[in-house]
Amino acid sequence: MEPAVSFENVEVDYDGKPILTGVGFNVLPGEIVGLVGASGSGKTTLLRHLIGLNQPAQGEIRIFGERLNQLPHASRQHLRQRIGVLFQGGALFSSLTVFENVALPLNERGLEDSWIQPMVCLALSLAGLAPETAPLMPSELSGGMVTRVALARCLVIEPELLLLDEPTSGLDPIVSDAFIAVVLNLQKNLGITVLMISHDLRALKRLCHRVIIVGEGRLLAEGRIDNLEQSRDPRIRAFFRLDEETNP
Amino acid sequence: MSEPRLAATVHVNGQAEIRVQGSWTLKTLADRKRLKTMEQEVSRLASRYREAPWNLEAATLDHFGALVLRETWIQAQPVSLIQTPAQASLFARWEHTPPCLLQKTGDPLHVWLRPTRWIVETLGGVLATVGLLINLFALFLRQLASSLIRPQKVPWAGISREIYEIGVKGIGIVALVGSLIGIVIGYLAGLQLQGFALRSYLVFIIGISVLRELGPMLAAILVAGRSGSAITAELGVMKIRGEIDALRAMGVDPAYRLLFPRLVALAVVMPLLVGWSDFFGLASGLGAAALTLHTSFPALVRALPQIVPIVNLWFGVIKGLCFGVIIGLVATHLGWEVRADAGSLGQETTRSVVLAITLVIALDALAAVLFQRVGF
Repeated sequence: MEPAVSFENVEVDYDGKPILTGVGFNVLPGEIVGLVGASGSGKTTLLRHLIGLNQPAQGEIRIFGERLNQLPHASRQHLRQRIGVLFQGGALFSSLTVFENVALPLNERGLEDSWIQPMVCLALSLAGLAPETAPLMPSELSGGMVTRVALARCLVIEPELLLLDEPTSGLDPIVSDAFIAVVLNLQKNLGITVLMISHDLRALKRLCHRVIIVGEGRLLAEGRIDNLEQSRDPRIRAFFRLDEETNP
Repeated sequence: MSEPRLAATVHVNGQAEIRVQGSWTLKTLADRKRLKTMEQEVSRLASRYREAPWNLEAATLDHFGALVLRETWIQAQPVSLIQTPAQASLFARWEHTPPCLLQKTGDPLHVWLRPTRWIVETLGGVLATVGLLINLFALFLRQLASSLIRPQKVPWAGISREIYEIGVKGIGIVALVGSLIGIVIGYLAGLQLQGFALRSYLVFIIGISVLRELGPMLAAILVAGRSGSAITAELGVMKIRGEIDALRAMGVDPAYRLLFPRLVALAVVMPLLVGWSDFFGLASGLGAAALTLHTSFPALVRALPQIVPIVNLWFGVIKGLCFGVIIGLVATHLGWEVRADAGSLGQETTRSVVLAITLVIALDALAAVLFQRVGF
């Protein structure tokens, strides 16, 4: 099976300084993979490379089999329409209402308003937002609601690949659970592939088939969470706070 | 990704079945022409084979595909559906999706009364802004007095940085625009007075117009456009990013840390820029006049202090100081007014330039009337 996402010996840099070298992993279609690591370890930069916002210093990134670094602009834009990205902090357009924010990707595709409206309502509903939030401005929303609107904006395009950067941060446990249920449901029904950056162990355990741990400028480990939890490597144990639990 | 297709199959027992095939997803149906065609096709088959079951099992469906089928079936609902559990859940999700509000609740005020409300609100807004500017000026004076008592607490580094940003970085453009305006005045005045023995009158026109009006006004307009807008935008972004709240939380007075250095810098820099603008305006104005009238440039320069009283220079410089304070008050006040959205930042920055220039011109007009006997 061809991977949905494939990194081959990629070097990730930030402002010209290499922060990750020899990055190589695959994400298979329909898989939910977590990317974890300490703050500043290069997870978000890795995600930016995946969207094509940054270029890798070396190596190759493939999405749905397409070589990202060799794609012409138009094809890259077309490819991006298959990817939903939830940025850290939401990145909502502050001058647009919630409805307009979520409708924006559909407007760009030239859909008629009569189709856009129900799609936006569904996306808001999937993200756990009440219909009354549609006319509000982002400045009128709480932090958790901003994340959910951003999620709705991702979901409205029915993405094949969902990239989530810290999606559950700022959400209360109930909303976080609802979010996890939505992602699981989407994955189950539509076979969406998900690559998620998170520090939320609960979300990682419930959602991810596999976890990739980033640290010390490279990929430290990769595998199922229950397998990684058995690891004796203190760096890996630190991510799962295993020593804290066993040696309080 | 295969195209969406529909096929009607009639079995040997005469029973018809509609098969939905291919990809019925947002990606394949986003094309308006194709969407219209598929809608018509669904409608046509649904009306023609009213008793036929619809088999969706061979189709790839997403929410949009399900929506298209569901909305088109409204005219002729299929009697039965053959679908996978995942497809059933897509339709079920549409069943449970509530319609969302597109607008907040309507304006209760009668349509004829809305202009009146707009006038009242606008006037109220203007008065409130003037009140807040006066309040801010009073705060600035208090901070100034407190700085004189405790000079060790004055944010000297901030003041120095602002003087550099507003003054040093602005001298090039002020010199350029001052020179160009001087050339225009000198050339036009020279042309009008050609053939008359009115050299002293020419020096008077250039000297008075540059020292009393054009020098201070040009410097004010350039500083309002260049630095006033930058101050509003900078404070606005700081407010949006929560930096001002962070200062408050640390026990630092944001007004003293952020507003005071900028106001002091503008009050210091503006008179200097007015003098700078006057110098280039006069030099180029007299130079252009000398060339137009074929007269001696040094003779015109020597005549200047005898014909134009020096008080005009001080009058212009003091006006510059007042303009600087006005620009600073407007820019900092509107930076403070920025709300947490990008649109507000743009609006307040524009307002800052427009309001500062308007107030500067208003004050200039007032000064022209009040001090009409000064300097002549």
